[in-house]
Amino acid sequence: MGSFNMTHTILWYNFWMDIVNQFLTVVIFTIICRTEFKSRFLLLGGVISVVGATLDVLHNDLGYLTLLLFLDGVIWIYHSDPVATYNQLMFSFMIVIIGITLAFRLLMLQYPIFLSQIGTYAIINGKMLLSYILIMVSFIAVVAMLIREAYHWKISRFSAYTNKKAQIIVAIFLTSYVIVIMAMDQMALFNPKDGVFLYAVLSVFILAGAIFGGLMIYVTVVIRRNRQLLHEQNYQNLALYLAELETSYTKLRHFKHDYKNSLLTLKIYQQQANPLKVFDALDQLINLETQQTHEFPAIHELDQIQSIPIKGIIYTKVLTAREKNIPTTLRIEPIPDAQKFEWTINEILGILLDNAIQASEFVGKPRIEIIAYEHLGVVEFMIMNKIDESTQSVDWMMTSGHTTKKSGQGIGLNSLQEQVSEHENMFFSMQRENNCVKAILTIEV
Amino acid sequence: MRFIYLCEDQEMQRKFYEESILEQLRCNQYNQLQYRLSTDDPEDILRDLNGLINQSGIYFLDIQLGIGRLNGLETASRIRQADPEGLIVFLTAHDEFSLTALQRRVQPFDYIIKQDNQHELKKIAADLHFANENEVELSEKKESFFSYSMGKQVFQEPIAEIDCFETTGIPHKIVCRMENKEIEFRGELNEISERFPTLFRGSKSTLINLKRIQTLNIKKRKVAFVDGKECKISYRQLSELRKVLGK
Repeated sequence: MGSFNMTHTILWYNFWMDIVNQFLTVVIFTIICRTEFKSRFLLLGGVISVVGATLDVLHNDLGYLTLLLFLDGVIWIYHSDPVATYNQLMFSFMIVIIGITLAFRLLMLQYPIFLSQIGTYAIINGKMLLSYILIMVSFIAVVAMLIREAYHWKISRFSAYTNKKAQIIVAIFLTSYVIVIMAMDQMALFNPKDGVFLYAVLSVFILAGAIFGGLMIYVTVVIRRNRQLLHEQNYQNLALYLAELETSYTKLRHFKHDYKNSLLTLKIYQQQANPLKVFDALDQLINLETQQTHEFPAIHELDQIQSIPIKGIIYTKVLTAREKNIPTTLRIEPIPDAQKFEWTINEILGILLDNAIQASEFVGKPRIEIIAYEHLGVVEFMIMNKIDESTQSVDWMMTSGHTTKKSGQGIGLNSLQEQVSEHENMFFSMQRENNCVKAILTIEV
Repeated sequence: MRFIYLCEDQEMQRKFYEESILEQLRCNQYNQLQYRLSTDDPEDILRDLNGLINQSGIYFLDIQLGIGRLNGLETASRIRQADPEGLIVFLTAHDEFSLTALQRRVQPFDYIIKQDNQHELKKIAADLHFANENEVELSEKKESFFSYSMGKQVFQEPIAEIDCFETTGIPHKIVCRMENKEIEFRGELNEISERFPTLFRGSKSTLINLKRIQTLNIKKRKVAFVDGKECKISYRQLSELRKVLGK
């Protein structure tokens, strides 16, 4: 893109200017993204984009404007998507965008005469469309190559939350924007006296509107897809839940039967006036009760949480713990406001519970306790698990890079803390008491 | 004067605890304590508290964990609201693992685990002795607590156990570092500094508890606390810290 008859020096000048602008944008976006509230972030992002684009327009280089707005759109997607909260992923995606910019600029530097010839040839022959298609194919090929390369990197996580339809919509919109911009640029080239700036301002409005509309559709599709996935997961959890209730009911019947038998035995010994046997029978009764309490986590406690996704994640993890013979206790009080944060908390809870299960696999007599309650404007989820006496202190556990899991299996507490920090009403604390560690997630409602 | 309340739904057990408490009062002549009420209904205690002004108590509460709702906890929370300085002692059949999780919510004074009568008697005696003898000490202790709120709940941590406060990089979020705890809460360093002037400003982003410092590494500009944790000091504050520590 850009003016085909630019001199080599001007191209180089624009090239370096773009790199500086782009990096500044990335740095600012990253800092803001980690520290500021969404709407402020978007507003500032938009302002930076418009300023950056205007500067580029003054250099008669509208191509960069498209990329910058597209970048803005990508960030917007990340902060509109209730599931994808990965700052790191966003950062890596921005780096991909930088790559696209660089690749395209290099292409321009490498073949300015070639591109110019194509353009001239096409215009002379009245086949402008063909020339645009040729340039667009090159551009899309570069994008495709980069995405393909990035796919095996962190971007695969992004793809997991999107679908083909949404990706196609974005691709079509991106292509349309570039064509519109190129057309504008071309018109300005032939009519320099009309003023490039006028066309640029017009194109900013057209593009902003188009990008906004396109991304609205995109985000709607993403959200719908995520909800669909979550509903499917919830149905599976519900099926498990019912099966577990049936098992629990059967166990309860057995327990009642055993309990009654023990009481009858106790009565017989009492009638025989045999105090030693009475004490034995009493001990058996106490043991029976303790054993049942551990074997039989009060799954019905989950009814207190008014959110199917949260209920689902806790229930799934309780079952995982039980499969690994880790006794798990639930103590849950009513949480009427659970739906307010169910989208954001689900993943965090999953990580916390996975960490507790993983840590419990390395201790002698493992035990996990999950406590949740809402009280005086605060919802708290506490996950307690036993740890080895030799386990290091709490601050070591929270240190960057530390993970209790095997290589490549999820993220550690430090990463989790980063996720929590994205929500201003959410706080994460860790406590260690003797051989027990307690992770507390506090949410102000 | 501190009133004694007892709430236990099992009549036999209630009588046992009541007799134990009265026996302790008789034998030790505790002049700071007065037996007030024993009941199986928590509402009785709350009603009684409503009629009292500026009166604190020691509450022996049965907490029935695992059966139905956490009624005992709810009672304790309501007592805490009505009598923030009250000493709450839980009577429970559950082990410490379960109880430690509940500590954060009501911050009880003690737990008495129902396992054998002798153990329970000893604990009751110790709690009553402490409540009687340490009225003055307790009031001093309260002043040395750092309190922070989330929602409408107030949490407390003893200042003596805090190494430092640090900013998190997230506006209005502070982390409090202790030997075995790291607690995140909403707050501002400046505000904490004003409330606790004895804390030293180690840098723009840290407030240090001088009493917890074990060593100062001047070369690395780091202080090490008694629990082995470390904290960085800014260049500007280093000389100030050396003056304060007399090094």
